[in-house]
Amino acid sequence: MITVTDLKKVYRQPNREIRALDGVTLSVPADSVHGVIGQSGAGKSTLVRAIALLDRPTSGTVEINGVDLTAVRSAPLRKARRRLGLVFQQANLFDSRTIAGNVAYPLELAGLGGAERAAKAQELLGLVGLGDSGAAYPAQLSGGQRQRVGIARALATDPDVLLCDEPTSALDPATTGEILDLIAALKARLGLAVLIITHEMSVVKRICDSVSLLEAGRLVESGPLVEVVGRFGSRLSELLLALPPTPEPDSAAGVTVEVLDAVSAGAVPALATVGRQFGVDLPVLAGTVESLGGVAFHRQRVLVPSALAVDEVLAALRRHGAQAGRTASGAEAAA
Amino acid sequence: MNDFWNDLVSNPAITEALWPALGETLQMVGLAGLATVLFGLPLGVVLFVTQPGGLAANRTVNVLLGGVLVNITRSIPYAILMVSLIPFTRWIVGTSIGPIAASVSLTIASVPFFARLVETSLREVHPGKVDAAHAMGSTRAQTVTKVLVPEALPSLVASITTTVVALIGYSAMAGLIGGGGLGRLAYNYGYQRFQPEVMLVVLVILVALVQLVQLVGDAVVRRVDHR
Repeated sequence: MITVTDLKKVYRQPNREIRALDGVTLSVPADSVHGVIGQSGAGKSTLVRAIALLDRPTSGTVEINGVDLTAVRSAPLRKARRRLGLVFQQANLFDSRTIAGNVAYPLELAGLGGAERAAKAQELLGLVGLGDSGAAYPAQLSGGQRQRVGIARALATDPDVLLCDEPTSALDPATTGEILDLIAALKARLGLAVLIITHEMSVVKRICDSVSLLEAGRLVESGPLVEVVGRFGSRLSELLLALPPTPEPDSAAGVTVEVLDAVSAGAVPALATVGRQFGVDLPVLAGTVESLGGVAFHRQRVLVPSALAVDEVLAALRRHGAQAGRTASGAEAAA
Repeated sequence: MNDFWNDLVSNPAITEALWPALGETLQMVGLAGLATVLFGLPLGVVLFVTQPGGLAANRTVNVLLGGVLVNITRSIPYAILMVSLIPFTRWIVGTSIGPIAASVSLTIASVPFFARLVETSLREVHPGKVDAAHAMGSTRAQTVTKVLVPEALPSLVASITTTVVALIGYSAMAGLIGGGGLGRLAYNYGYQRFQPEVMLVVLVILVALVQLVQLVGDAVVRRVDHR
C-alpha cells in the first residue's frame, strides 16, 4: 500500500515560482495497479522523482505501509527505500555488470553473502523469464529483455510497492504487451501495489485498475478505470475512448451528437435500439469500442439527420441506458 | 651510409648508454603514472561530485580544486613547471637529480590533466544509472565506487593510456634538467655532439614505446568494455 498525500514540488526562481507538483494525493492498495496518465510537461517525471525521493518534495508525504519516506533521511531512508522498487523507462542497467550482477546489486547493498545473492538473483531472473541469461551483459539483450532485468532488479529487496516510470515507452507494441502482462502477473503473485506513470493510454487500458489524469502538476480526474471511462464527457473517458477528428457536417444535414454506452455481454447497444425505434439508420461518423473490466464501452459520434428532433433522439438514447449529448459543434449549431 | 651503420653499432652512447637510459625513462613514466592515477582519480571524482547538481555539490570545493588548483597548474608550461619545482622536489626526495626526482614534477604536471579526463569520463555515465543506484539505497560512496567508476572504467582506462603517452613526452623534457633517460641521451649525444644515429635510435624507441602503451591500453579497454 502506498499513500501519497498533498505532494508539492516548487522550484523557486529569482522572479517566480514554478509549481511542478501542486498537491498530488493518491493511494494504491496492495494487489492493484494505478495508472497516472499525463502528457509531456504535466509533471510526470517530477512526480516519479518526488515519490521515489530522488528529489525531495517541497511538502507532502509518501507513505509505504504507514512508513513516511519524507520523514527520514540518510540510513533510515535508504532502508525504507527497499520497500519501493523503481522501474525506469530505459531500465538503467549497469553495463559493467552481468545480468545476474545487476539483479544482485540491491542484495549486495542489503548485506547478503555471495551465495545467497546468486541464488536470489537466479530466482528473480526465473520469475521474469530470463533464467538462462544471468551470465550475459545488458548490451547483449533486447530492449524488452533489459526491462525484464530492470523489473527483476526492482523486486530484489521484496518491495511492497513497484513504481514504474514510463516502463514501456521505449518498447515496440508487442514487447509492451509482454512487459505489461509480466507486471500484472507479478502484481497478482506478490501482492504488489503498482503505480505506473505513463503517457500511453494502451498501458492504462491493459492493466490498470484505477487511473488518474495529471495536468499541470495536479490530478484533475481520478477513479476506478470502469467508473472513470463511464463518466460521459470526462477528459479521461475521452482520452481512453479516443475518436478520430471528423469533418464538420453541413448544418443542413443534421446535428452531431456523442453517445457513450456501457454494454454488458449479450445486450444490444442503445444506438441500435433507438435507430430501429425511429426507423432510420443513424450514420456513425466515428466510433470506438473498448472492453474494460468485462464491460464493452461504445463511444460514437453520430449524425442525427435534420428530419429528426435531436432532443427526442437524445432522450431515447438515455432511456435505453446510454449517455448522450450534443458535441461542441452540434451544440453550437443548435444555438 | 656504411659509416652510419658503423656508428650505429659501435657508438658507446648506443651500445652502452641506451639501455640504462631506457630504464630511467621507464622508471620516470612508471612512477609518475602510478602516482598520477593514485592522486588524479580521487581528484577527478571530487571534481565530478562537487560540481553544481552533483552527488555532493559543493561550490567552494569545486572552485578551489577545479577553478584554482587544476586550471592554474594546467596553464603552466611543463618546461617552466619542472624548473620552478626544483626546491620542492629537493625537499620531498632530497635531491633534484635522477628519475625519482623527475617523477615529482611529472606527477604534479599530469595529475590535473588526468583529473580532468576522469571528470569527463564520469560525466559520460548516464545519470539514470546514478538515479537507479540511489533508488536502490546506495550511499554516495557506494554510488561512486560500485556504479560510477565501474561504469566509466573503459573510458578511465583510455584516459590512463592518454596520460601515460603524455608522460613519455614530458619525461624527455624532464631528462634535460637531471632526470636522465632517453631525453637526455638524445639531447647530449644527438643534439649537442651531433650524432644523428643516437637521435634516430632514441626516436625509434620512443615511437615503439608509445605504440606499445597505446596497444596495451586499447586491449585493456576492449577487455573491460561490456557496453
